[in-house]
Amino acid sequence: MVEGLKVINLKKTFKLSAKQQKLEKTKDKVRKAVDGLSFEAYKGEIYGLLGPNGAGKTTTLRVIATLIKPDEGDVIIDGLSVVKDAGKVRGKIGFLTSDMKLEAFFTPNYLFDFFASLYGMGEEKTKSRKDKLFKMFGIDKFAEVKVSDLSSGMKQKTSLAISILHDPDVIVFDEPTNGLDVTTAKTVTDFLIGMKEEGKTIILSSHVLSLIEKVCDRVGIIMKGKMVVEGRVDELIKEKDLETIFIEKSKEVENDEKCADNN
Amino acid sequence: MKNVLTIIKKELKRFFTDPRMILALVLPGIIMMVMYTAIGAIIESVQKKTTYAIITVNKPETVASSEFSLGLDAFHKSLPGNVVDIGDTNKEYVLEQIEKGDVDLLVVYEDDFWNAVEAYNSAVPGAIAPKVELYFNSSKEKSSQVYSMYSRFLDDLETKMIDVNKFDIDLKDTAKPTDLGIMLISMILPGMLVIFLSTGSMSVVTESIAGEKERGTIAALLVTPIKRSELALGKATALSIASLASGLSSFIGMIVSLPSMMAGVELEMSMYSVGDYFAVFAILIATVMLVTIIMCMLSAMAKSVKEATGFTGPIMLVVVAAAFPTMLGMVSSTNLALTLIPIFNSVQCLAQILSKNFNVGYFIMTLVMNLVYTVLGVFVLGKMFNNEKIMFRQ
Repeated sequence: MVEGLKVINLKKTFKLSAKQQKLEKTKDKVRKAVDGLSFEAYKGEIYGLLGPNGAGKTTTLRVIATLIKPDEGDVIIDGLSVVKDAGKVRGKIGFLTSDMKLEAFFTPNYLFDFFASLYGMGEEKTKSRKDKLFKMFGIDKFAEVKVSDLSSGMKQKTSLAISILHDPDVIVFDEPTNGLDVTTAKTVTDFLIGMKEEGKTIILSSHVLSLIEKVCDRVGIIMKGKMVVEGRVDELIKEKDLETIFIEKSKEVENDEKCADNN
Repeated sequence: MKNVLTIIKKELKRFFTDPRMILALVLPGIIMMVMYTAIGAIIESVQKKTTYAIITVNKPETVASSEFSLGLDAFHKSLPGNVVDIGDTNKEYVLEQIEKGDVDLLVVYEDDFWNAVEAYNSAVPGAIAPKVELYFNSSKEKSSQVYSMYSRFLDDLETKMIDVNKFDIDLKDTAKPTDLGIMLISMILPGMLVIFLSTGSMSVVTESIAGEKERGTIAALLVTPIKRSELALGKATALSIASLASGLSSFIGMIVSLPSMMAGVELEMSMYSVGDYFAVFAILIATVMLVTIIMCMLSAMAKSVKEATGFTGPIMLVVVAAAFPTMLGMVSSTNLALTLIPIFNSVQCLAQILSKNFNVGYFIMTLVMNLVYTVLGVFVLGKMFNNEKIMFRQ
């Protein structure tokens, strides 16, 4: 059984509307968002997923989170397939993306209880998790304030706490420090490292390369839906930093594409 | 002027090049056409089967040489149902039967009617015109219909007699004061109730489902292990309750203002039994659930609250169209085939209950059909929540 997460030859295409074809100056009726992507993230490690906008990161994360189905391939999480066992997988993962927002009308306290109930958690377990997570993120100070009245940092902390309230084995975060101040970003970074030490499998997608360098054990750079660089962060940055690798690879892919178009 | 034309062109382009907009424009018309055609066909078949019970007193004897007499005979024969003459006995008993709805019309002619008509000259001072008394019950639809046919015939007959004032038609409405209230309530309330419920549903549903999609909060729900069908049912139920509350608040406002709206009409809560109120409430719950699930499906298709409002708007037109015939007193049928038409079936059933013509079969079928449609709707909504193209449409 695969412990952690294994992405196997993932493919996903989206139909392009006439408007999108015009915008993207293409005659193709479909766009390959993810094109045969494979990687593994092990227990007790943080795997960083890098890529420019439109590279297929969000699509990959959505497939992992069972929000969308792949055209081909699969993702195996602790032996469960996101295609065949979507319901069970949802109980095993914690997912947080910038697309996901909290209902503004409610308080963090209410929302925590609401989602805990959806995860089938009992009253006692909910209380102990809430005490722990609210204390860890300092949410207890604003637990009874409506989400609409919270700052971006407070909202993000609440979202983080709710996404892991069921103590998932696999955690998938898309841009978790986006728009956060230095102090809050540090809280998130410390939290990620803490989760890793607890033996969780963490997939982290971010544009903040310094964060990836700091917390990730391994990293995969995807471009045009394909894996172009993969390896241990400490080994990759021996000669060049991640930013240089990223930019060089971007240019390389762009040149390859131009050559293909000319041929 | 150039700017105005530019704006007009842009707006027209928006309307006539967006398939969804075109659908929103055309769909209500198509739905109404289909619905009214179906309703019309069913009503026609029902009306063909309608027969009237008419009693006459002192029915004028046939005079072979009188075209008027022959005309009256032909008219009696053309009426669907029986015309029975009872001489001048049992009039009081017949009036009771009219009140109950067992007899539709009592026509009382003056003795030796044709001779009296012949002898009457309106130009002679003090001459008394022969009388035809029509007894009917305006709170009963069949009675009103046959009364209308009969009085129209007599008016035409009098007109043909050159001297338009050859006899007097005396109308006697056997309906009680509260009967009129019952009739008005049964015409107005069913349609208004369903319209209010739908309006309430539209506002809460668009905000909840399309609003959640727009704000990005639905994704948080979709990554939880909860089944999509559970999510659909939970949403539909909660939204039905909210819709019911919203619709009932409008309804209560209307009930409060009803006495002043119908000044002069006797209205009492005791006109209806506890059973009637329960039946009305059962139909309202079934209707609001159905309307809500329809709104939910349309709302799930939309990317934003604004778009959802555009989608659900045509449904309101359909609701109004379904309420319209009853509000005009045009339809009151117990044909079970009509229970297949959603929303219209509820309006009809409410009209039957409120007009004291409760039909158990129609009531049960209406509840069952609405429930079946709602369950189907919940199933489809669950599938829609599972459809990435719908939930994550860009």
